[in-house]
Amino acid sequence: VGWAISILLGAGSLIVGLLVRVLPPMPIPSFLYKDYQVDEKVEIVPTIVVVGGESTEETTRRRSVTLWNVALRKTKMQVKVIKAFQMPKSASKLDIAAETVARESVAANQQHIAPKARWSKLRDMLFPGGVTRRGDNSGLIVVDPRSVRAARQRLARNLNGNNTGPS
Amino acid sequence: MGIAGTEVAKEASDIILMDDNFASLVKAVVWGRCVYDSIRKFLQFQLTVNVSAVVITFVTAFYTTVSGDQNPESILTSVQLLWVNLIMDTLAALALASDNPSDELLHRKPSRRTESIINADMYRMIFAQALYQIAVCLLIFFGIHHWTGGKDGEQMHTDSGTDPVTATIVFNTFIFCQIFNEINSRSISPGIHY
Repeated sequence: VGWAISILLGAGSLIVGLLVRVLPPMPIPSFLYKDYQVDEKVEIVPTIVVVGGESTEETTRRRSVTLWNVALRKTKMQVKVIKAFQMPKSASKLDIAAETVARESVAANQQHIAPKARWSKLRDMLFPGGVTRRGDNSGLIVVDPRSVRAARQRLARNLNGNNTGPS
Repeated sequence: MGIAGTEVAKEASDIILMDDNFASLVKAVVWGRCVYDSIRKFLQFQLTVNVSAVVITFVTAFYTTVSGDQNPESILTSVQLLWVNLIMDTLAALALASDNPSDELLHRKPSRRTESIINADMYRMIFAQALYQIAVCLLIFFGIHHWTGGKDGEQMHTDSGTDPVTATIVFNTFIFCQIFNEINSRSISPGIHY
């Protein structure tokens, strides 16, 4: 009798669950559950208020610095993620190759976020692809053409004052 | 694009596709929603267990204390509560977490950033289940002795504590409630999805 009572009353839990699903929903007290209808506004770059007398160049510079800091913070996060996860043994050769390229890319980014001299930071900012010395002792610096184009575009945006951030 | 993308784009991005395959976006969304749903299912199940166990334990312990029993104790003993936690926290969680993602996950809208992890439907299920389980267990605690052949007026608590038959039936009922509620907890949305 005890077992029968237990099983029957326990099965009632399933029926209660069915009723909750089928019956029209009951209102929930607001102190328990507050349904937010408006999503909070996502702001990656904080709004810069131009104080009276501040020049346009100053506003553009501050905006660029903010953009740069946001990019640095995201890069640090990517480095942490890459370090935390390992490629499974069952991964295909294509995945391993992609992961290797990504790790090298992150390693390059990691060098960018290391503390450096001011001129070195400026160089990295202008040429994200990195710079190298030619091997013939000529002293000439070789840069990635894509980095040059990116640097020119970034400078052009900054000068025009319509820098909305990299997309 | 983690391979072909430029460094500037990767620095400014929120998500990087390590394999440069747009299909990975769909997989990431599906598995992300599946894991989120699994956490919600487990929360729904676990909160029901905890709310009902705490209330039953408190009420029965309070009653046996107030009624003047020489050995007042809860109807659910410490070992039984530990057993419930051991089984329900591990096996039930594994069962709810091992559900595979379904195509329906892609048919719903994204969750809002400010959305609570426990939604209104989960609250309704948690409180309805907890109320039912508390009512059933307390009903047995206060009345089963007469149904199973006890004499009128005979106390359901002996001098050495709660009647073991009553305690066993309450515990069994509580466990069966959780077993059947596990089926309810496989879904966190309204409608029948068993």
